[in-house]
Amino acid sequence: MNKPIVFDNITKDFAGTSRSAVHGVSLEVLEGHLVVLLGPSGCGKTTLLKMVNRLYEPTGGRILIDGVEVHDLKLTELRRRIGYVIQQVGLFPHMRIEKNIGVVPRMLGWNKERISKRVDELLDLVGLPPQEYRRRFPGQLSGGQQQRVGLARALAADPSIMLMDEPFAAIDNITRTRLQDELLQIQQTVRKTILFVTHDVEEAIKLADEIVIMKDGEVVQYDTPLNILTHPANEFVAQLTGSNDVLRRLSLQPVASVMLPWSGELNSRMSSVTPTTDLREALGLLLSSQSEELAVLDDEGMPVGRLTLSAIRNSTQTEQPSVEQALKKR
Amino acid sequence: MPFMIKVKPFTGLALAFMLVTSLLLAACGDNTATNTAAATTAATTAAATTAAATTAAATTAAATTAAATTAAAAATTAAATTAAATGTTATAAKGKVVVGSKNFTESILVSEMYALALEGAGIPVERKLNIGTTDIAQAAIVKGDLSLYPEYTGTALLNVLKLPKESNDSKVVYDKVATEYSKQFKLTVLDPAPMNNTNAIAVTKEAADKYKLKTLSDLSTAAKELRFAAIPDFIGPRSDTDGLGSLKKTYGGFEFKEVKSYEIPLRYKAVTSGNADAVVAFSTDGEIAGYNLVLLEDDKKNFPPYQFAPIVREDILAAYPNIKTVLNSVSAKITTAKISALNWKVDGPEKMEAVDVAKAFMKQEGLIK
Amino acid sequence: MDIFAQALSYGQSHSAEFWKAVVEHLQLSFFALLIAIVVCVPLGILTSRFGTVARVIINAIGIGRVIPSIAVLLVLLPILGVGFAPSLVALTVLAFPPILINTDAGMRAVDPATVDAAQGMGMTWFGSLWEVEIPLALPIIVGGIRTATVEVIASATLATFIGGGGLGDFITQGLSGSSNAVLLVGAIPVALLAAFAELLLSTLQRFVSSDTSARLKTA
Repeated sequence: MNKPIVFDNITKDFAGTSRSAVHGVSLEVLEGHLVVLLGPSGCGKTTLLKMVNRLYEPTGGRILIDGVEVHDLKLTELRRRIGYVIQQVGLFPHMRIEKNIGVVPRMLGWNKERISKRVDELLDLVGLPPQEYRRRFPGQLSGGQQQRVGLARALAADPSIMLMDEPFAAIDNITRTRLQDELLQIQQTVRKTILFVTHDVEEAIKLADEIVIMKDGEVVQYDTPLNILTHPANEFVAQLTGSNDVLRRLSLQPVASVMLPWSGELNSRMSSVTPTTDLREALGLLLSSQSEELAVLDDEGMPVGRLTLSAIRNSTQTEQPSVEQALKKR
Repeated sequence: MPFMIKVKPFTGLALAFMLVTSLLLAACGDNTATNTAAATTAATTAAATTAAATTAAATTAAATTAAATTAAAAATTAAATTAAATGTTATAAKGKVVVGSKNFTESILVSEMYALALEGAGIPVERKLNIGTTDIAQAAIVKGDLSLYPEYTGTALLNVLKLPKESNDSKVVYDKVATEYSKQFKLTVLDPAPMNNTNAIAVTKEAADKYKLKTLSDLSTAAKELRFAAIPDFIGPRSDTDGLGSLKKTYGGFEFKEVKSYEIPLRYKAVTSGNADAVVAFSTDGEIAGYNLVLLEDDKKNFPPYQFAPIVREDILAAYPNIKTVLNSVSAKITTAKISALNWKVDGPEKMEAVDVAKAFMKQEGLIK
Repeated sequence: MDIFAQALSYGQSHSAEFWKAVVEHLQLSFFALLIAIVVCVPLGILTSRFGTVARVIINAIGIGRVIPSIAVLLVLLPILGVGFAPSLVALTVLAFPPILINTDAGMRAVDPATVDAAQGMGMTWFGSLWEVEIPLALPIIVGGIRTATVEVIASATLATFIGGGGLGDFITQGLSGSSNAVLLVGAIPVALLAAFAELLLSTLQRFVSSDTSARLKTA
């Protein structure tokens, strides 16, 4: 598998501070993965992100984009092939939405029709009807709508890599959840390699293929959300992610991972789940049903297994959930 | 990168600036074309002023220039009014004689001479020197704030009495002024000094040599080759009575290549810095000799005489009759050459105090001990 | 009313001088502003990028505000002499502070996130400046130019002191001749010019602001 972003022993010192903001970080990001940089403020996650498009220059080490060291690329060219989304959105208030989205394509010299077509495509992709929104100014949009435009703008020239710096942090809870769902949906179609900075654990677990946990400028753990929850590298990670939160862990496990083989016959009072339902939801259903067990039915409605309370209890003690299965949670 | 060029408001702004620049540059090159249209537009502009003048904006704009002068004048007037009460009371009680002067060196010098002479004769004196312009001095003496001050006969005739200029003979002018002052203001005009500080024109030594200039008649034709440094009064509303307009009437010609207006104390800078060849001078200006300029003779007697004469309130003169002989003896000593030299001591590089210069002169002339 | 009739007739009988004075006045004002803009807008952009150095420069130029133009004229007298050049310099100095201060403030008022976005998207330094930062700062910059313009038009009346010409000629003539009518021939057009410039530039300011602020009506 390709590794579009590689950090090789990256260090960043800022003038006037004794401690390095980032210290000896080496990471490889897999193509098409959404990797979340997670950690408390001041841990160096944003600094690490901004070194990819050289808003900061590393003090030591190398960063490779598609195998080429970023320092060897022309600055503007490097940035134009990387999508960039920030918390404050940073739309240009004096430009209409269509012009905002078209900034990078214009710099790349696309012709008008191509840009115009692309703007329509992107607005559709982020759920803003082009006819209604193209000609508006950013000030006429809500915060959530602005960030959709921000995302569209970053995607405009179809970059293979996206950098997202706490893009949903300033948005209200309900809208944030919706934007997260939409990002996952969009990611399924576009399959970008995304570096995503957040300090929100729930967001990280929900979005990430892999999470990089950072503390004091160093990487503490780099793994899948489930592994981080089930095998926290140390007490810091456990506390940060709330690994001992049983319900949180259950929410990351599919029914398929613990279900028992189908044995009896279908009982009319039995509730049913699918193999991909997460255990947290299944537990709720089980507790509220009048039955001792749940039927696990496949897409055609054929029973493939059963789920009991003891099976769920066992799962919280076993430490052998399948990563591959966990990744199928979506 | 094509996108960089297309910022609308910016390009618009730049274009507008370029347009205005070119219009202005065109206007510099061709004033005559504008002037044809000028008359018509002038009417329109001025008509529009009726409403506009009442706006605060008019005041603001004018204030920049006017402020200093006006404020100073206002302050002095206020001071004068306040002092008026005291002055009148003092006069009634046969108190001090209040000697005033206008706001320039020559007036201050002569007033100080008057004051010194009166003190020498044992008359109690109070000085109110440098109080302001002609209008202020005249108002003050009529009110009784001043007992006496030196005034030019020409100024008295043209600016105070506002009488038409019938003759430029010094005797005729003096007699007319003395009669009218007594009749209109109950003010006595004592004997004038022999000096004459009239308007005049001085030219640089180079210009005088090159165009062989001795008299204003010579200058009238040579003017078209010369740049002229004027003062506002010389080309303003009184131009036709005592300025450039009157020269044109008397001599013909006088179409200078360029006429620029300067503040009175700055006009000699124009000649010394090479920005002008001819300059409005007052005939007693120390600068004429000081800067090696050539004063041209008024061969057709265009300018009225400006001789200093003491203007004295009649009630003061009644209280102190010997004022007359004392001041007449001072006036007799003040010639154009002498007062020019005294002016230069104050205004020239020596920068002496007017009071000290006056005192030294009085001693030298034997008028005081 | 009489005085306005007098002013009108004096203006008509001296129309050649009047229009010459108007043109001189406009030339002085225009070139002073042009120089000030050409110098101070780039300088303001520069100072907005630096902290302490900027404060020093701005304060130094800000002193220009408290020195009266007439003092500048007299100080320049020994160096530049009299006439158009020193008048132009004095007026230019007068126009510096508002333009510099507003440009600096306008550039600083641009949201850093917007600049971050512009750079992060791969705009060049100049592209970000020209397409994003200057347009966003423009309303404030134009505001400075507007202040400077009104000040310069009003103060150009001082040029007459040193033979710089302009409408101040009539004002000083009116003062010296004790004729308010003649004074008005200079003062009223100055007021009108200032008012007109104010109107023009406030319109321009609104125009450049309209793209920046959120428009509530849907386009």
